Amino acid sequence: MTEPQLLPTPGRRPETVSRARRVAGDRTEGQSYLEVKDLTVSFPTADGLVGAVQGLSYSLPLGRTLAVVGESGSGKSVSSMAIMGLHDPRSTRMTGSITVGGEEIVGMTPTELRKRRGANAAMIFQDPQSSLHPYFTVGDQIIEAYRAHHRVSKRVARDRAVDMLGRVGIPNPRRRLDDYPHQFSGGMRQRAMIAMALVNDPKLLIADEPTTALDVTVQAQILDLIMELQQDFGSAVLFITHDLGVVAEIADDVLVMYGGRGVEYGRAESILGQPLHPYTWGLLESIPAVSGEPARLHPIPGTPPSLLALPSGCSFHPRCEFAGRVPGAACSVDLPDLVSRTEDTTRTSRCHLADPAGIFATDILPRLP
Amino acid sequence: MSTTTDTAIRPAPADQPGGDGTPLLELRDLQMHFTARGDGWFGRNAHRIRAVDGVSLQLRAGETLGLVGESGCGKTTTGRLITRLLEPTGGQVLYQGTDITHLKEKDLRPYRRELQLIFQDPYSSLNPRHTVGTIIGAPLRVHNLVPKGKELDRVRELLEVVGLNPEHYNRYPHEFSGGQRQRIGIARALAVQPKVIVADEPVSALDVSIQAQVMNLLEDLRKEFNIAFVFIAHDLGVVRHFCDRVAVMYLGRVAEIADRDPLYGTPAHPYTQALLSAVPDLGVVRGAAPKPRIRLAGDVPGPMDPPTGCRFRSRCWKAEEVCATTTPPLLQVGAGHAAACHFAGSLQEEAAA
Amino acid sequence: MLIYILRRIASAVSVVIVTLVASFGLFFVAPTDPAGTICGQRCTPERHADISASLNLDQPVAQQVGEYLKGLAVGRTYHSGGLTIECDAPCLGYSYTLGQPVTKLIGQALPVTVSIVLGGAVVYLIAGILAGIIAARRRGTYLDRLMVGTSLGINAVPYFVVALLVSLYATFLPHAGYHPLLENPFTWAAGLLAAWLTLGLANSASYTRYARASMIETLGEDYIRTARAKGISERRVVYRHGLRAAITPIATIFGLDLAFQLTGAIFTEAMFGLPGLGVLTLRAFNQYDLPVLMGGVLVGSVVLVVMNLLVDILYTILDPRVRLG
Repeated sequence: MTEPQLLPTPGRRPETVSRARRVAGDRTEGQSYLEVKDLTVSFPTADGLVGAVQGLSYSLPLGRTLAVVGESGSGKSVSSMAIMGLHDPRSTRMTGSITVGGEEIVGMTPTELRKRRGANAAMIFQDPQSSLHPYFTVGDQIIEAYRAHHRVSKRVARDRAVDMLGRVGIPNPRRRLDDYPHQFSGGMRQRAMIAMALVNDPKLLIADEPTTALDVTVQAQILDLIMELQQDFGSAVLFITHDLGVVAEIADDVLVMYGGRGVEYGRAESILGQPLHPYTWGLLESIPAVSGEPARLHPIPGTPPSLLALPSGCSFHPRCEFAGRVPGAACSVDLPDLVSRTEDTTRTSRCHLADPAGIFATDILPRLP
Repeated sequence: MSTTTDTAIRPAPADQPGGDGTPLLELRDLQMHFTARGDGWFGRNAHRIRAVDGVSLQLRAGETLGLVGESGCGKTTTGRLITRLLEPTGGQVLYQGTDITHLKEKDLRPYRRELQLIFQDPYSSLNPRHTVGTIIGAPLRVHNLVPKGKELDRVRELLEVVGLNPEHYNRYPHEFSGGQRQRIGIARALAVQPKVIVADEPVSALDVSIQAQVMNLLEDLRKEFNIAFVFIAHDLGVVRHFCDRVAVMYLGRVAEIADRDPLYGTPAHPYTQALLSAVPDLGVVRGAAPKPRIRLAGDVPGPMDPPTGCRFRSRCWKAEEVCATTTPPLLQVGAGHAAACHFAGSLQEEAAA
Repeated sequence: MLIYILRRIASAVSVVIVTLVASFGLFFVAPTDPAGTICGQRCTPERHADISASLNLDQPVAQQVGEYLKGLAVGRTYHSGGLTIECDAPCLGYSYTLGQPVTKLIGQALPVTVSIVLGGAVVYLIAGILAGIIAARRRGTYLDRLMVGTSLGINAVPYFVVALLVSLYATFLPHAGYHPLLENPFTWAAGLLAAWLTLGLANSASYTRYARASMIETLGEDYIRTARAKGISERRVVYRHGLRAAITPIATIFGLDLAFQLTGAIFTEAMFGLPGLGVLTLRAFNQYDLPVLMGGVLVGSVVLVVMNLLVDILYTILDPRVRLG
């Protein structure tokens, strides 16, 4: 393999574009491509009903990137699989509504779902090594994805695949098309996955931890690529991650999930700069930074709750150091609503605290690592 | 040295090293070349994988040395060589001045006690059929550290030290969460009062909030017991948080080594600069100045046929002809700061500017 | 690639030679009296000596092995009593009890066995793998449990009982018998149908479970999720993406099973009166027909080694990661 020429890329900075767009406040209100409303996903098991997602609502317009953040068991992956219609209907109970491009997904027949999968919405996954079929060439897999939704000859599909591979930055795409996944490096494989996902020009791209399995320098390349392609394709990107650093890099909006529920939602700058939920504070305090003065971490005590038996009231209350500041036993009894506490009505959080902004400024900000 | 039989968890008092300048642990030009028999089609062509290729490091008592790098950089292999889970194919491992490079298993035993390893995966490194008490108690028995009958007391004490309920000694690993299992692994390592703990990605399999808990625990233990750490991780933030000194590795060699602040503040090796630039930084949201943006092309080449001369040159934007012909030595660029780059000096100035 | 195959062939040949020498030792040098056994109860010393000579038992062992190998390579001549018997290469020996060269006997029996086993394999591969896939896709349902239960039940029944049941109850099947394929393919197939069904039924039970386990594992892989996410049909996901990967471990088991059946299809052959290799060696065993036994062992070891070789080559065809390093 020829090592591509090397470069600090000064010219095209997708990030700058994205920031400029944020400043311009280019929000296509009411034109959400993806709309999730009161979504509940649960799996009946021998031990009881696992409530993986409960009452989740959010919307995502074209051209924007929503980062869904949470730890394992928060429901972030389960909800995205639901959008793709990838849950086995025989073992999943789903209520609520998911509309993609105006079409209701919940309750669709398997055949209807299949026709939309990969066409309107496409998905890339965490581990490109295991997500590509080891026995088929990269080209075969991309061509198959294209022909699943386009009635074209193999030749046409092949040209399209070459095009896409070139577009995601794989040198020599025509030759590499006939390589097997194991002949690609880790970063190349994820590029190929992205090419496969975007081959049908989907309006919604779901990226489930797409850089977690990659090296840092490769992660940076892939994040750049996703941002760049989003600009070109004008698609909506749902980016699932546990890494708040990645969120800072890529997201326009952020949804923080805990125990199957959304606990905080808003613009990325706002969520990361002035978070209003104690769980988000805890996450921020747990991340050792690469710049600034190193301080002692201030982790959230305890462990994430079992989805079989969520705590009553606010699911976070057993781990919340501020639960005592809420009068009475509200935290352990009442589930707080996801409501706006600021002038920005889209900025919402799910917490009983009276003055979260004040607590953040006085208690949390000084001890952030 | 006397075997402390009472239940004090203090490590054996840090005897001679540290004070007189002998490092606790020293690696001299360490090499580990694996021979991979390509038993597929070209079975005859045995490949030589230079997993570790000339690494020299020193670790003083109580110090924390971080090893960072991407996949294939040899950091994990180095950890295994230090704890002699692997026998080096070249170079030396000195522990308190004693050469333990090629010691036989029997003679290695006293050193095994002082050099402990913590693994990445808390799920697979604990025997699922043993209770936690048995797991933590095993090294106590093997090394005869505790008189009969006192074992359980010591196990309970260790559980408490790592923040677990001491009464849970008769539970099985599957009854614990990932973070708790990592604590069990730590308790097992602590049981023998080691002087050095090699921690191989101890927090990377854990959720962020749990990761922070374990980091704090390790930090407390290190301060309380004055244990030296070799801390292996790919996460630059985690390493910066935990380590006094940091060595950046690339394809089996040390690219740069320095105290924490100069390494993160004024990195001299282009690879370190690229690595730091690639880490998504939360600080920017809170108003920190954005870092210079350096994007490397491609992935790390395989260790089977690394580039000639400087291993990093195939991805380096500063590479010139000399890089292909001459391997840059690890040269001093500041106090306790060395980098293996022909242009280290000028790059450091750029980074500082 | 070529080097690999040549190396594998070299090692295969050496395995066969070792088997040959070892069985020579067991049969001819054993502290029994093979000539006496063949000769029978009323044996005259002359006849005994004659048989010994014809079997080369009067020669040193090394020479016996050498003669045998020579026979394989260029043929040999037997002198028995006043008779001179020419045995052309590859000569596996001469059966005095049947009065035929062993090569010819095996040459007649082998096509029968191969026909039975390959035909049966087609039946159990198709039936077993299809059933396994269906069970895997409906894992945990009653259908799945029924299929696994049935498969275990069939396996629990001794093989000859299965054969017996087929021959007793499947009376609608054409009469069993062997007719060479090249004479008339239809009578060939008709005569073997009962044997195929028996072998197929008994083995498809095991293959159902192999295929089910392999398929369940494969369907849980990430790349299957990727295939579904593309929006291709579920059938394509299962049969193209799933089966392609799930078949590899089954191929390994199949290769070894096939070798085993080729050398040991005795029940099937005996039940349906088919003159195959199993029947031939069984008769030779009972009559102490050493040359035939030796021939059977040799052919068996060759079959085993060749099947192993084929499995390895098949593996590299199936899995590009092995093929391309």
